[in-house]
Amino acid sequence: MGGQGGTGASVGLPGLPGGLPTVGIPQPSTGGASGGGASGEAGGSPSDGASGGAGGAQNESIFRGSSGGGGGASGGSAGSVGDASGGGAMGGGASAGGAMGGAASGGGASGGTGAAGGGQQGGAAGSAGGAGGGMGSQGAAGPFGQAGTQGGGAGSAGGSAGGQAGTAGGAEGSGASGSAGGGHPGGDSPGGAQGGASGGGYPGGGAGPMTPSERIAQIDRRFESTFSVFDGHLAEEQAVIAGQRGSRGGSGSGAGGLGEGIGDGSDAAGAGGRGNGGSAGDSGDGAGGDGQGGSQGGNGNGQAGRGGVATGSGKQGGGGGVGGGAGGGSGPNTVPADIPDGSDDDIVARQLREAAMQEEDPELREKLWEEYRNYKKSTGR
Amino acid sequence: MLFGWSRLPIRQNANPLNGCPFMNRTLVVLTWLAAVLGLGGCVVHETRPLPQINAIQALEEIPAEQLLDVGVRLFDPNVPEDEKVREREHIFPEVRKAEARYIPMQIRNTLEGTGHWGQVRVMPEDAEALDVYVSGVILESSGQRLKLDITVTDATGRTWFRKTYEQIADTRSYKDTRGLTRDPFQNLYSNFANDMLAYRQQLAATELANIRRVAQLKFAADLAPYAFESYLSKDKRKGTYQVARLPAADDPMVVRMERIRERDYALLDTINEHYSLFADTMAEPYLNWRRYSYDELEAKDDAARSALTRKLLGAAAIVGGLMIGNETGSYAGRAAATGAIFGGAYAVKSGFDRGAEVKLHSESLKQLGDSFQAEVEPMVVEVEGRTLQLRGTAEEQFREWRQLLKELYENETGLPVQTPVTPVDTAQAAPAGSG
Repeated sequence: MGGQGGTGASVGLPGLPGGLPTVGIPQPSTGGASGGGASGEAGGSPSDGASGGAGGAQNESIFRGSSGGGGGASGGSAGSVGDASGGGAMGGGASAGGAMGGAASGGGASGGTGAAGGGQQGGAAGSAGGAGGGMGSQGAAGPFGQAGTQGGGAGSAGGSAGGQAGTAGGAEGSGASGSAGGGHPGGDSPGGAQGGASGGGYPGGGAGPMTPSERIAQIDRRFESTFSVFDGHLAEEQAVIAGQRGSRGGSGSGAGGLGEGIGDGSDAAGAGGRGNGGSAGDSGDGAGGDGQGGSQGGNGNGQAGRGGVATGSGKQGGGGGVGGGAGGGSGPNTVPADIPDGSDDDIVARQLREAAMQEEDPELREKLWEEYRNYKKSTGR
Repeated sequence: MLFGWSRLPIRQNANPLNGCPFMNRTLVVLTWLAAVLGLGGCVVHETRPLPQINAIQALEEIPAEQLLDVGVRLFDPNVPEDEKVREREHIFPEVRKAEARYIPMQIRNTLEGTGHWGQVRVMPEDAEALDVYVSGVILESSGQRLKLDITVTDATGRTWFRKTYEQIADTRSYKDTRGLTRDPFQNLYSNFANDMLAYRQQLAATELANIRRVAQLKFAADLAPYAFESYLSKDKRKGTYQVARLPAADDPMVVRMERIRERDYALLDTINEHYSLFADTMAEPYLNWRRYSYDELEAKDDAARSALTRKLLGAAAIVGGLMIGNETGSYAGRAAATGAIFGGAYAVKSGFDRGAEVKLHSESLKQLGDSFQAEVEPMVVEVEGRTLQLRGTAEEQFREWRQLLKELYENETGLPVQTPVTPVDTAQAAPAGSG
C-alpha cells in the first residue's frame, strides 16, 4: 500500500535537526488517500524497497523515471532514518521515505528526499511549511541532518507546497514536497546531494514528463513560495519603518501586512486577515497586528513590530498569516482598554476614532472616546 | 515726509504757474506720478490669517464598489536648470525634491480624511494599477506662496481635470509655535480635494465600477497580456479604455492575479509608509523653514517695493525740480525746484539703501535655504534609497511572477504564448509598486 495519505500535520520548527520526525504532530489528515507511492509501505523495512520503487513509478510522482525509481526503491527502505544503504543508487531518496519523509518540512526543504516522502508526508510537510513560511525560519534539514543552508524561505516553501499537494493525492504530495523544497536554495542543495537522483530538485528532479495538472500544481506551489518570500520582505520592511517611527516617538499607523497563510493540508491557503497596524503605544514600540490564522486552524500570533506570524497547527494545518503590519509608532495618547480594535468601524466611527487618537488634550480626547463608545453602542457594533 | 514735497511747490507756486499751461501740466503729471508711486509703496498686503477651508467630509458610508483607490504620485519638483534663476527665485533643488514628496503626502492625508475615497497612497511617479491618479508640478513654493499644477486622471485614461492652484500662506500656522499645526497651505489641499470630489460626484455608479474594473484588468493585462488583453478595448479616438468583457470570477488566472495585486497593494502601502515617515520627519524643520523664510520674504518684498518707490519718486522729483527751475522766474519757484532736486536725490539715495536691505534679506534667505537643504537632503536620499531598494526587490519578484503566469497559462490552455514575456523594465516589472 502506498502511504495513507498525509498523516500528521507537523510544525516545522526552526533550528531542529533536519529530517527528524520529532516535530510532527501526527493528526489525521485529509491528504491524498493513495499516499506517496514512493514511500510505498514506507516506514517498512528495507526489504520493502522493491515495492517502494514500484510505488514510486505508479504514483506519478514528478520524480518518476529513473530517479523516481531510485527514490522509490530506497523509499521502501526508508523506514529507517538515514538508511542510506537502503537507497538505490543514491540512497538519499530512500532516507526520505516513509516515516522519515513524514518528518516534515525537512523532507521538502531538502529537496530530493521529499520525493520519496510520500503523500503521507506531504500533508505533514505542508503544515510545517505553513508555519515555517511565516516565520521565515531556517529550513529544515534533510534526512541526513544537513540543515537547509538557506533557511526559512526555502524550507517553508517546500513544506507548504507539500502540504497542499497532500490533499491532491499522496503521490503528488510527495513529489511536491520534494520539488518545491528542492528547488529552493538551501533546500535543494542538501537534498540534491544526499537524495541523489530523487533529490534532483525541481522542476522534475528526475526524468520523465509530468502531466499538465501536475505541472500546474507545481507552478502553483512555486507561486505560494514566492508569495511567502515576498510577504516576508514586506514584513521586514514594515518592521524597519515601525522601528524608525518608534525611535522618532512620533505617531503613525502601520500598514497592514498581508495575512495570507499557506500550507494548509486540504483547504489550500487559509486566508489570514489583514494585520492591523499597531496602534499607538507610549513606549514608542510598534505593536504588530495579529495575523489571523486560516479558517481551518492556525492561530496567528503577532510578533511585536513585525507582521504577525501564524503558526499553523491542527488538522488542516495552519493558514498562517503574515499578518500585522508595521506597528504604529507611539502616539500622543493611547487607546483605552475598552475600545475595540475598530476593524468594523464605519466612517463616522473611524473619524471619531482618529480624532480621539490625534487629540492631545486629555479631556477632549476622553470626550471623543466617549463619543466613539456611544456611537458604537448606537450602531450596535 | 517724502511724499509731502509734491504738494508744497504747487501751493507755493500757485501764482507763478498761472498762465503757464506747460508748467501746470508738468506739475500735475509729477504729482500724479508721486501719488501713484506713493500708493504703490504703501500697498498693504491682504490679511494673511485666512478663513479656513475644509475638505468636504463624507456623511455616509460609500459602497465599497464605488470607493476609488487613489494614487498620489510624487510631484515634479520643477527645478530650473539655470542656477541664476534658482538663485533669483530662491529655489533650492534639494528642498524642492523634498517638497515633491511632502506635498503629495499632504494631499493624500487630506483626501484620506474625507472618507470619500478608498485607499489613498503616495506612490512613485511612474506607478500604476490604481483607480485614480493625482500628478502635479510644483510651480512655486515658498513660505509665502504655493502654486501647483495638478492633473487628475483615472485608470481608463480619462483626464478628470487639470488645474493650477495657488494659495498664499495662512500666517496663523506660522504664529502658532506650539507644535505642528494646520499646514499653511491647507486651504489649497482642501480646495483640490473638493474639486476631486465634485468631479467624482458627476460620475454614475456604473462609471465608478467601470474604472475599478479597468484598473483591475489593466493590472492583469500588464502581467499576462496573452490572457487578459482581450478583456479590454481601447477607444482610439479618446484614448480611453473600456471593459470589453469580463473574465469568470473563478478563473484561476484571475484568482492568481488578485493575489498578486494584493501584494502590489502591500508593496505600495509599504512605500507609502516610507513617504509618510519621511513627511513626518520633515514636517517640523520644514514648517520652521517656511516660517522664517516667510518673514524674510515679506521683509525683502517690502524693502524691494520701498526701494523702487523711493528711487522712482526721487528721480521724478529731480526731473521736476530741474524743469521747474528752468521755467520759473520767481525766487519761490527756484527754491521749490532746488528743494525738489535735493529731496529727490535723498529719496534716490534712500532707495538704494533699501536696495541694500533687499540684498541682505536675499542673503538671509539663501542661508536659510542652504541650511534647510543640508538638513533635508539626507532624508530625501534615505527615503529614495529605501524605496528604490524595495522596488528593486519587487521588480525581481514581478519578473518571476510574469514567468510563472506564462507557464501556468500555457499548461492550463495548452496554447503556447506567442508574445514573448515583456522585457523587464521598471514600469512593467512591477505594475504599481515599482512602477
